[in-house]
Amino acid sequence: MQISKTGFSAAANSRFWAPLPEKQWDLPKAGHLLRRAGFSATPEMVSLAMTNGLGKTVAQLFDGRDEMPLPRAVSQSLAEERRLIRRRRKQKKAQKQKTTDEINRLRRQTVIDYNIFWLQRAADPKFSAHEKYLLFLQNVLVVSSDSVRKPESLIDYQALLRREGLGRYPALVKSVSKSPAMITYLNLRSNEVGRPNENFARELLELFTLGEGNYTEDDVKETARAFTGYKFNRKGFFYAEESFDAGEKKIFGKSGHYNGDQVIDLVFEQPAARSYLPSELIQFYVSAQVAIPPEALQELGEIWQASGFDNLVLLETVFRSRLFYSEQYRGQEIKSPVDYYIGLVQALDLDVAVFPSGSVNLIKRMGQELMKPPNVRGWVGGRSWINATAVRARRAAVAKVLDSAGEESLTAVDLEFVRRLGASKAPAYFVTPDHLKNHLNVNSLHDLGGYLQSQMADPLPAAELNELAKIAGAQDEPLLELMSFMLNHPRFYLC
Amino acid sequence: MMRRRDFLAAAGLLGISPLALGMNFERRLLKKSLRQYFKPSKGDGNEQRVLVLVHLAGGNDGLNTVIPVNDPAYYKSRPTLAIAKSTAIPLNADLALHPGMKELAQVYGDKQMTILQGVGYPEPNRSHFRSLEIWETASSSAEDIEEGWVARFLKQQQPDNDDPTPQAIHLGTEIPDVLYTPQDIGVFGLARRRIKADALGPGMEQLEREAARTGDERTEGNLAYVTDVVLDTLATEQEIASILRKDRSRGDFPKSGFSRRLRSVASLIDSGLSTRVYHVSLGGFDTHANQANRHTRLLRTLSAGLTAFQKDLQRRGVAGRVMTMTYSEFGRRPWENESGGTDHGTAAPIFLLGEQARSGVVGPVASIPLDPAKDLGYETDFRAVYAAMLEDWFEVPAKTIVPGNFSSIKVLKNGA
Repeated sequence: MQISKTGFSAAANSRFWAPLPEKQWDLPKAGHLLRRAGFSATPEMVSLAMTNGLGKTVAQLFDGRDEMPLPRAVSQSLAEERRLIRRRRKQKKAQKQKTTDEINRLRRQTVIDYNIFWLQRAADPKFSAHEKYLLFLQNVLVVSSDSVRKPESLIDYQALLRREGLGRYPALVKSVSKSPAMITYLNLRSNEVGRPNENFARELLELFTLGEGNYTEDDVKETARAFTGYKFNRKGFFYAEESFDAGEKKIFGKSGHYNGDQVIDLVFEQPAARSYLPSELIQFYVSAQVAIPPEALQELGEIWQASGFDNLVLLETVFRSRLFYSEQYRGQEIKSPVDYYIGLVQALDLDVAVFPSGSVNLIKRMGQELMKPPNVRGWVGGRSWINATAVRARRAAVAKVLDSAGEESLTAVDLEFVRRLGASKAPAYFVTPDHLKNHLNVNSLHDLGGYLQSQMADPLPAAELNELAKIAGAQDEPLLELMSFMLNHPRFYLC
Repeated sequence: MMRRRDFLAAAGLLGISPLALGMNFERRLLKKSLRQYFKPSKGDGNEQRVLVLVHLAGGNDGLNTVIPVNDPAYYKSRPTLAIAKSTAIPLNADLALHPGMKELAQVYGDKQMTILQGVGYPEPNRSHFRSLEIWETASSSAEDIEEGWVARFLKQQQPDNDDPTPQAIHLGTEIPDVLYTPQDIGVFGLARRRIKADALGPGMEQLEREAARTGDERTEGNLAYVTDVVLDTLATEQEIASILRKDRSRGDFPKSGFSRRLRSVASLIDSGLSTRVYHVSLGGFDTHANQANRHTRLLRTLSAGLTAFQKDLQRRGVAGRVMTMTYSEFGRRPWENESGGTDHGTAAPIFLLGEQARSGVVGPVASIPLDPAKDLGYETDFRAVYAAMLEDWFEVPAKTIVPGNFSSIKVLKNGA
């Protein structure tokens, strides 16, 4: 894993971003990194991180970024969708509507199927950091299934981010501007010479690259003109010359017959471009609430720019820095629904349920429907994840994995998904006493308390743990009760 | 939603740590206010009306439930599964109930049950997931699919933000899609495996103590914020558990989990809660193989449970304001398969129970196709049944909740 030398020498001189010395690497810091970069810090992960040291751990974080193979059930659904679309072409109006309903339902199911497979991938520690990073990217470069109806476009879009997300940001933005998903989501297809549609241009400047206040309305208008002619068909993106506005545009004070790619180059010449994405990254990984000092953000932007806006450099700089490990940013972030669910699965060494009621629906009820953020700004995160409904949904997720009826309570809908998507030989969807013993080496209430404490970013004070253990000990199923208390504890909501 | 903290504040304890007063003081104070935690039901007319939804999960075999005992095609299509006329319980000249449903037959005889025949929809879908989605969202358009039809109804009811009373309670951890909408409409889930009431109280107190102990440095922090919301949520859970625990007038119910859930529903309905909708599920109806015994057991459970529930409501004097409705994602094929079972079908009967239910069988006897590859047609669109519940039972316009074109249907007794 080659890290840009430019990136590191710049960081070395920074007050905030200088790497934490290896001798200061310890268990709590390893836990902090693993919980933030990924979804949890299990004993194995922490142990490996301690053996490897900070530098090597960070260097290996994003190693798992191979292409995600298209699951068979998903490719079958995509084929069925194509069949239905072909059939619909030959139908009369009344029939057409019914087939459209059928297609829409199939599409929704396909997205659910895909997201179940995605959760399985993200829960695999090898891929966790990279897939979590894709969540971050998808929350900046937003598209949504509510207007991007074709699952294939959404899947291809995520694959694009997976392929190019850790490269240089300007190139990524250029690729994204040409993806069918983004073209659909921001109506780029209707943006033609003489009939400009500013949707994409505005979001490009406001939400992808510069942030509000760093461009003028005229910049938006002229940018829109540069992005005319962007189309796609079944074969993919193509450029429609005849729809392109070839005239001269004046953007950020410069004039030229710019096209989309060239405007993106202009964007990254603006000072604001240096700090916009880093600021978003800090909010996602460091703190949604506590701002970092402005000088720190500026320096990070300079480091990033010096690297050619390389996102891997940005991530590694942050994860190796002193700032990242300072006390004020530790243990206080509210886990997103995906963080909470995958954190639960990893901490308990469970398998992601291959049916929605045990996976995607739990996350959806907590307020995060994968591939469907509420609007183009993405999920706000932080405290907005927590309200009565969301808390009840988190409690429902815990109840689900602790369900002693477990396998017997799978419904017909659940089983339908199991049959269609396939499951491993002996999946562990629910925690049983045997599971605790065999998977987590937990043989007593004391073991359990200790283990779950190790999974908290900010563990309970000893007195509180003892109190809870006492209450649990008096119940019929002490282990289950203690798990219930601790997994439902507010501290488990934080990382 | 009234917050527990506000609740204590209102009692004049603002700014004083519970520890300073001692936990017993706080507990006593809380107990005194328990009666006022949920706002009591207003008690006038239709605001008290309740709908209990019972999902027969997996696709109930309607043909063996409400049996066309005089149709030779029935016996031809089900050489091993057909129920003998001599064992079935007659409903009228043409139809009989499965022998396992003697209790429900009595409810029917007491004119407290409607049997709606052949309920389904055009172009039926045979996937559990997709057909259930259709039944629970009552929407065939691409747009409004995300919300359950009951969720849409509850959204329109505009709950009182100061009242933590749930508008709907489902028994089971997951919110069923019929009650789901992204925004908070006050849906509460009574988990199958609840934290025992003995543990919940002390657990909450422990959280309160910890919250008080961490003091001012953390009052602005996320831990304090999350703890606050969690405690509020737990308070509702505790209140509901308390209502159930304190119900001294619990009736006689059969031993099944299903019956126990209905027993809880009866307690909650009678407690004065203004909750409008309850949802209970009975699973196992996906009888692709060896249907005979399994279906019998399920129908026995269903019959015994629903009847005990209806009787309990009567005993408590609340039967006049409760309607219970079964639904299932589809019926099953008329012709049995090679494994002694039946495969996913289409239309099936709905049972409507209630003192106010229009009695009798509505709709014709199912017509069994001679071709083994064919399915039953549908008589009544399920959306018509929903619309009738909305308009005649809850007395709200159905148009915005259950859009579409279907003929109306009468579900209540005259004058109800």
